[in-house]
Order: sequence, then structure tokens, then C-alpha cells
Amino acid sequence: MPREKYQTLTEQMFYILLCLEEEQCGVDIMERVAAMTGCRVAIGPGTLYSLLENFQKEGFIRETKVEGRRRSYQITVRGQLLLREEARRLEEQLSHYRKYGKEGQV
Amino acid sequence: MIGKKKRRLVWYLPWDGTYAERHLEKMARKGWRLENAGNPFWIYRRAEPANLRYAITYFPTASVFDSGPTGDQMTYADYCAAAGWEMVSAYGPLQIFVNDRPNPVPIETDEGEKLAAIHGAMKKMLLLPDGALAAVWLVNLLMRLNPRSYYSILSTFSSNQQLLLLLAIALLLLLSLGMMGDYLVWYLRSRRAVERGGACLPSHTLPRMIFQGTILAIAMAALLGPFAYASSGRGLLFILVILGTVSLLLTVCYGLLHLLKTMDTSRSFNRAAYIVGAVVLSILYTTVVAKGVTALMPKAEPRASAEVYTVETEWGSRNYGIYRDDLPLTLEDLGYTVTEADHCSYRREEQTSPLVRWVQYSQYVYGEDSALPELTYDTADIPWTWLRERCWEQMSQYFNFAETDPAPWEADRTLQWDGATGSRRYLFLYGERIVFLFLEEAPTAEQMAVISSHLCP
Repeated sequence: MPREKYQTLTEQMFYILLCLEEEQCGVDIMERVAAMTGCRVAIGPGTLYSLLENFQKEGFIRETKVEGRRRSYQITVRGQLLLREEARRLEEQLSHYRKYGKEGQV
Repeated sequence: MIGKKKRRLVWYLPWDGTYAERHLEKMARKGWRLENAGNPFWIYRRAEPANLRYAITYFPTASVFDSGPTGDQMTYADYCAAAGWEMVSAYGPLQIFVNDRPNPVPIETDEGEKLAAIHGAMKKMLLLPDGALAAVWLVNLLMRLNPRSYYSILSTFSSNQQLLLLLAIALLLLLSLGMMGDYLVWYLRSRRAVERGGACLPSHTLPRMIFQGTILAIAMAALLGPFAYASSGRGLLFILVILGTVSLLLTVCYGLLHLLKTMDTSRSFNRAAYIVGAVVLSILYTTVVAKGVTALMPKAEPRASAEVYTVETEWGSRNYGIYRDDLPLTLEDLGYTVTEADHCSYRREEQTSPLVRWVQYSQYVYGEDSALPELTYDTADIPWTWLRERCWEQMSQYFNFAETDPAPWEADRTLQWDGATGSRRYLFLYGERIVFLFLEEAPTAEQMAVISSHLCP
């Protein structure tokens, strides 16, 4: 079930959607994510291809431009909602950590 | 040495590319780089030894019938190229990439997506073809185990050659089912691991390959061995002819596919043309090989008779072989007076395997003026209860026998069938022995006693 599949996003899913807040050519996403995360998050090209295809099927992104084999994508409203929901979940997680965790004792 | 090529049969579990990746990396270190993985033998070319990284990935929507990589596949290859992975070879959903960077980002960095791609490809590459193959072996096996003809079940189980053929088919069925089962177990366990945040499970490729190779070798030995043995001294030639023609058939089929792919036609056209071509080639192959086997095998000569009795008729002369074998039950034992003028032939033919000893007896009467009836009967000694019950069940169904009192025959069970002209057929069970008897006349009580005492083991 797609709802279950995308209930929480993996880091790779999160950063791909985040990249696509601006129109972006698929092949450039790997480099952009590496730059955004200081190379902490690496997306393999096979995984990138599959996730773009799945996101497009689910309506989270749309194809904006095709130049030869270069395809550009941008996030849709549905994708933005998914991304915001994930960001909210992460913020909540972080606030719980700050509230209940023993930060500073470690 | 530059420019030299090498071909090698690479055998690996298709869902576990790691084994083949390590093999390719080892070959690259030795100075052999993969050039093409598109036919049963992978082709390598000589190159400077190098530490390269290889990756085997799957593109589920690609097909072996595509004339070349599809547009989507090329887009995938572009993404890979951006990460330093160059496509070396693609054959159907299988894709092989190489990277000369020391620590490249793997092509697949999400285990769930990787597993989905493997499963999509395995449906096409493994489950569908192996499933079809398993169905063919299963139907073949069931048809041989449930023959329509009355004698076939005894003929099959009393023949060592037929038993070896059954063994070969059963092993080939096991191989196909085993391969599918092995993959499905791996897939389900990997899926569970991935759902829990883990990685796809490793496969122990080498022991599995050894096991599969052994099963295949035994199946081939069981299939070809008896023919090779029976071809009286030409066994090696026989095996070479079979292996040579099979290799030729596969090469021609591959050549046909290669030709279609170079014509730049659609996938559906290539698929249809290939299926038609492969079926025609297979029919031709079967015809040619059947003729070759017939030519190689020595002609089965009938056993020489003790004498030949010739009868002159208005249509010409007819020869009858007169045999003088020992029979456990004869017309003489049943009280008939047999003379030279009756020209009786006493014939006994035996076929024995570890499962069944089947003996066919006949006392045919060729004398033109003889009034004697003919006597034919079979005995089948079957120590295996399950097989005896199976044979009994099958034989009893064939003639619409009716159960009758076994006491007069001193048998465990007796079935009887009455013919319109007074003839009788009986099926007796004496311990481990099944007896099938045909009499032209209804027996007397004395004859019944003689029959049971002579045919009961």
C-alpha cells in the first residue's frame, strides 16, 4: 500500500523531494544531495532512477522537461504535503529528544 | 597478447549478482575485462590488469527480445555514468556496469528498491521459464506414471531404461522446482529483513551451484547412459552426437535471436518470430536426432526360435517362429492333448528391474486343423506394496473386471471378466505376485486347481 510505503520517508527519499522543490534534471540530483549533506547521504544511480519513477507514479513529482534523454522533474503539491509531513514528524521527534532526552549529559 | 579474447561459462544464482561481480573483478585483476555477457559464454578481452568495481543490476522492464537498450534503460545508464558506472553489457533485464573509481557510490543504495528490481527481473528470468519447464517435466512424469495402455505400467517399471528415464525427468523437475523454491525462500527472507531495516540476504552460491551441477550431471547420465550403453561400443560417439546437436540447436536459436535484434524490429515482433523459429528448429532437431539415434542403435533382432513353421495360404506362405521355452503352466497341464500336428510354440519373455519382474508366457497353436485353445498369461512379481497396489488398480480398471471369490483359486484376490464368446480373463493376487490369465474357454474346477498350484509363487 503506497500510504504505508511513504508513511515515513527514508533519507534518500526525503532529500530527492527536497531537491525537487526546484526544477531539477534527474541526473544532477545525486550531486545536489551530496552537496546539501556534505556527502553524508549518497544516492546510488539505480536507486535514484527507481525512486523518481515511483514518485512520478504516485504523483509526488512531475516531469517538467525532456531534452533528449535528460529529464527534469519538480515536486507536486502532493509531494510537498508528503515532504512537510515528514519534516513535521522529524521536528516532533527532535523536540521529544530535547524534552525527554538527557542532552548534555552525553 | 593485446586483443586476445576468452570465453567462459559463468554460472551463478541470478538473484545473487555478488558472486559474478567478484568473479569479474578477479578476472580484471588478471587482465581480462568483460566485453559481452549476452550469450551463454561471457566474452572477455585482454587488457591491463586493473582494480575495477563491477555491479550487476536488473532493469525489470527490459526484455531479451529488445533490439537494444530501451530509452528508459539508457536514461538509467546515464544516471550510472554520472556516478562513474559505465555499462559493459546488457542482456534482457540483466545489466553489468564497471567503475574504475576506488570507492564508488553503489548503484543501489536502497535495499527495498534493489530487492524490487531483482524480483521484477526474476519473474521474467527465472519464475516464468523455470515454471514452464517444471510444468513440462511434471506432465511428462505424470503421463509416464499413469499410462493409458494396460501393459505400459508393467513395461515401464520392469525396464531399467524406463526407470532411468523417470529418474532423469524427476531430477530435472526437482532442479526447476528447487531453483524456484530457493529463490522464493531467499526473496521472502530478504523482504522480511529489508522491512526491518536490514539488507538483502547473502546467498551461498558455490555450494548451491555444485549441488545443481551434480543433479544435472546425474540426470544427464540417467538420460543418455542407457542409450550409450545399448549402442554396443558406440556409446561415446552417441553422447558426442547428442551433445553436439544440442549445442548446435542452442547456437542456432541464439543466432536467430541475435539476427532479429540486429534488424531493429519491435519487441513483440522479435518475440513472435523467435518462438516460431525455435519451435520449427526443435521439430527439425527432434526428427534429425531421432533418425540419428535409430542409425546408431543396433537393430533389435527378435530372439531366434527353435524352428520355423511355414504355412502355405492362398495369399502366400507365412512363417511362424516355434519356441520351446519352459512354461510354468501349459495346455498339457490343463488336460489338453497336444500333438506335433498342433505346432505349439511355448514362449517366455522376461523383463526385470529392481522394482518389477515381469514375465509374459504364451502357448500359441499354429496347426491349421488344431482345435486347441490358446493360452497366454503374465506374472508380475512386485515386492513393493505401493507399486503392486498401483499396478493392480490400473490393470483391474483396464478390462472392467468384476471381483469374484478367490477361494477356488487359492488367491488373495481374484477379478474376472467374461467375454461374449466364452473366453475369460482373470487377475489374481498371490502375495507379491499379480497374475493375468487369458483363457479361451471357462475353466473346470480341476483346471482352476492346476492353475493356482502352477502360478502361485
